[in-house]
Amino acid sequence: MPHLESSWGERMKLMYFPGCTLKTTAKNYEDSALAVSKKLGLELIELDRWNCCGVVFNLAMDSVMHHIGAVRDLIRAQEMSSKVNDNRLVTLCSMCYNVLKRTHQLMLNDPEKLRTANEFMDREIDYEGNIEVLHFLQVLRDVVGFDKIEEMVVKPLKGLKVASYYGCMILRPKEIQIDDYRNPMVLNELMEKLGAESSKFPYETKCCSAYDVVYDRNIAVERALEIRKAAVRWGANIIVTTCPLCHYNLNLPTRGPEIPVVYFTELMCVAFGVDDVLSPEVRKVIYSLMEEGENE
Amino acid sequence: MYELAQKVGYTEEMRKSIEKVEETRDRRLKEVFERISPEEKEKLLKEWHPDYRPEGKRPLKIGPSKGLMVPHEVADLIEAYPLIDPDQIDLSKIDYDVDILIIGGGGAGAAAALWAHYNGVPADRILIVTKLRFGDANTKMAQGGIQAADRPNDSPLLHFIDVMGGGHYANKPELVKLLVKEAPLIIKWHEELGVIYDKDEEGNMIELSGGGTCRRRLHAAKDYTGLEIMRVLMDEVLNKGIPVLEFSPVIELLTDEDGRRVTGAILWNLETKEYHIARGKAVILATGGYGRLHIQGFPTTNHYGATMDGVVLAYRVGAKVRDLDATQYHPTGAAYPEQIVGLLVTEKVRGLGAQLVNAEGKQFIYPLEPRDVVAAAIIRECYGRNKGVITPTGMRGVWLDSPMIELIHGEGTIKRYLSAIYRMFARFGIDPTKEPILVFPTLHYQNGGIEINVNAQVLDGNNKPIEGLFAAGEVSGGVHGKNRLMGNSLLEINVFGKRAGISAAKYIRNATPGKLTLNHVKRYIKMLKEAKIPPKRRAPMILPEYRGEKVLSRAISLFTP
Amino acid sequence: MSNEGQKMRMVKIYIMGKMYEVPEGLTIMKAMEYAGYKFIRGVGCRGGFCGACTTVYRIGNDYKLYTGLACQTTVQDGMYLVQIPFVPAEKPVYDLEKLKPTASTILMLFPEITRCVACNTCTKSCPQELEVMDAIQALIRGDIAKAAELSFDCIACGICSIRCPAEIVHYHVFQLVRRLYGKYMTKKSRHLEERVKEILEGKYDEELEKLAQLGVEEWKKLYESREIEE
Repeated sequence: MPHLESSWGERMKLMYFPGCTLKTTAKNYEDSALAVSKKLGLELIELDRWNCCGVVFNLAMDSVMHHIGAVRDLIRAQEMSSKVNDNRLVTLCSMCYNVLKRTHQLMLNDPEKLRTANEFMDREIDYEGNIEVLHFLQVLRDVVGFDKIEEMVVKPLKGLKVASYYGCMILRPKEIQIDDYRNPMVLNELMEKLGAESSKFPYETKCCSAYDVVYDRNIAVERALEIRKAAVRWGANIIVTTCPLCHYNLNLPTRGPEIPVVYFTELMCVAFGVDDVLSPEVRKVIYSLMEEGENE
Repeated sequence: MYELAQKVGYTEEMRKSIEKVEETRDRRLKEVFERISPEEKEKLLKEWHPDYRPEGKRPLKIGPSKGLMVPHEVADLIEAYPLIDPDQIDLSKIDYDVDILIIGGGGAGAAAALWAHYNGVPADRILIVTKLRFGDANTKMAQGGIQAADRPNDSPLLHFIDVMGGGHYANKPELVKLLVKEAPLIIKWHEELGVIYDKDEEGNMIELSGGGTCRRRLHAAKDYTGLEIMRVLMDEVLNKGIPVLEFSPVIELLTDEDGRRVTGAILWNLETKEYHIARGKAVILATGGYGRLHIQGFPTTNHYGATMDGVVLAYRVGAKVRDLDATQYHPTGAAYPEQIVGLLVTEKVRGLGAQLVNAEGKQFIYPLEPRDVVAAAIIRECYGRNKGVITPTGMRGVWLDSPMIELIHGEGTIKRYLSAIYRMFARFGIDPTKEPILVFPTLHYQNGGIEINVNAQVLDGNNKPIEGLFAAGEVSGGVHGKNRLMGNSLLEINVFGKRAGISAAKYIRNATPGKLTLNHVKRYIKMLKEAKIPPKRRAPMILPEYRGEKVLSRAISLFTP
Repeated sequence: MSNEGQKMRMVKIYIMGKMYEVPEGLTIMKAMEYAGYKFIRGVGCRGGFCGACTTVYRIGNDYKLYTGLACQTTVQDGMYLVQIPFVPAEKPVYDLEKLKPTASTILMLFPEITRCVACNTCTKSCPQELEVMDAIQALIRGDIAKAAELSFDCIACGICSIRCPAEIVHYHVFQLVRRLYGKYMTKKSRHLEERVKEILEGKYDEELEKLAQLGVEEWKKLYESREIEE
């Protein structure tokens, strides 16, 4: 399906898949992303009906049953695509991105599986395989363009030394990466456009330990400590992340250095001057860091 | 939505009549049919209400209410022999020994159990026994609402007047006083329990008018009010750990030697056929109504087990009964299609503005008169004036113009606030939002019943309480007089269920378990023989007989026992 | 009910595999009674409200499995049916006063709802045609209000739960959800509270007592002259 070109001043519509956490524990991620999108003339339209994508565990299962949830979400996007005249489905949660994108590819690569899924879901239209799943970062880089983003900055993030933490889900496996998994730059570049200093650091793509936090919290705590120490050693005073689970894990209380972890969209809100959607705590943390940094 | 497997829809004939209804609709939207005068009301009821047909009833031959006029179907069960042979039952082994035995698992039974518990009776000292499943009762089927005077422009005093007027002033005033005074307290209790009443954004209750009410005081949970209340009460009973014994109807009460105190009951396991003896310091009857007696051959809105068991059991113990010939026919039972004939179409449909219209598209009665008036009017329209619609099976009915609701309150009102009705008809290919529905009176409610006092104690022929016996809900009489108003039944089960629970809890503090005998049954058998009643009929009925004639004529019971 | 003397058209139905000829147009429930079954299980209100009579059936060689309430579904030729008289699921015991209306409350009492694979089998089985899966999914993301709304017309027949591959017991979950919604998520009615206070303070006692003593003639006068709110 053709992409809609947007001339700035017009609202561009893209379908949006929230995922379960964005409505509960990561509501702040959704709020900040929607505020930023509004500023950019982007309208993220939530799917009318959607269900849990099934999280990454379900991808490990061979049974088609475990992919049904994700395929149904792609079908919902397909149903809505004619209304918005676009076939792109945007997610904020990196895990949902991973699951939806990989499920889509799995179905395309295995027509038997797709046929089975379609036949099982006899109340829904068939999934025809034409939905393009995007992570919000891709939208910002490829659809909006970083130059436009730079234009929108009213409060450059001077004083912030940002460690861009990518985690795994948007870079692995290679088939779905939104950037070179060996040396990703998208988040770093974005931070620079916002006026912040951006530091690369060795653990930027090291897994946060994901759901291990449920089975053995110590693993997650140790991992969080490693990542935060590395960010601090490489000169950062704040870490940004793209995934609610990374956000949760990196924020676990540890013995090590205190360094705040926020969503990249929250920094964008400050830079764009729409920080009223941020929680008072987050706002305070960011502004005081900016002050400190400036005074150095 | 999904494919309905059974589209019935209206016939050509009926469509022609519907066209007339549609033609007059716009005019009728502005038209308010005049209310009936008291004199016209008298005449209408006398001539057309089934209760007033003398051929339908006869005087009772025996017992504390000897001489009382009751419908034949009721007399047949009261003038009937027990199911058991008193000499064949071993009363020495007690299977259930409790403080409060509640017979009946509907709204009144659940309310009684909860309030007894709130008043200090431990959960395991209460036992609810029920004929089918817990919750299988008329309560679940009540649709439209529950009355309570809680708005500033309303008061329990006005509610009182409405109840008395609707009941033809035959109600017991002290019972009505309790009913209207407790009403708002019951609603508050429900709110605390989590019952989802229709409310606006500010939290104000959305209340409608019912037939015969002078204020809007009907609280509703869409048109599933009874279901919503019953399932919350059930959930709470189970949360408190109060035991419930299902599929165990009571086939006889037990009394002490002189029969002046009720001390327990004989339970019968419907599935294993085993009988059990239950002893209770107090016994609460909450057994519901008598729709499945099909009085005067009418179809009914009632659930499967509404067979008047409680009245029969209490009468044998010496309880007085009243107003059993005051049978409420709900004016709007479904009349088409055949499969749902007799099922309830809630008064709320009229409360939201739908008018009753004859085959020619004309109104013939103000839709929110009290139920007996409307029922009589519909019967007159169909059989007296012959202006009803006749269905392919010979059933007659008038139109209830439901599409008016969408016009008055906005599109989507029916699907949102009357989803039960919508579903009931949509299953058969009729869309109440676009087409009127056909209705005719159906047997609905037992206005009368066991005589009780304001403490829910059962009274004998001398108006003295029978020790240890309480009753609440449809099984009792006197609250509604000769005709119940909409929304007062859900209210009654809560108010009197609560009252029975509290009274029983108080009573047992000074009570000891009593002796168990069937002496009252032996005395009753003697009475029946003296009145020369042949031993053909047995009671209580427990479940109605609907098996096909063909099968029944060839069915034999071979397993012994 | 049906006209006598008129020849009835019969259809063949299979009750638990055994063929019976029953008159066309009967509901499943009445057809089974015609065939000689006296219901003890699988019957309740006979009006579509109690969930006792859910029937699972196929029609002829169609592989599809259908559900419907026996009291509201007409027989069809070739109907191959069974009733599920009971669904095994004890409900958890809780004290509503001690619970909060949050996703974690639901997950604490019913952790298995996270096993939902969004297969939609529950929705397809529901004789009330409710969006059962959507209601469970709403709960997974903490939207109690939506789940309460979607599940309101549930009659707790249990077919969804018997068929669910994740072994969720939907109707127990929904009952808790609705009570939480009704108790904690709607505003309390202020006018109700005021009226309750007045009653408990005895505001109406004297007048009600007077009214109760009046007698038929007086009541008639009051009744016939009362003003009716439109």
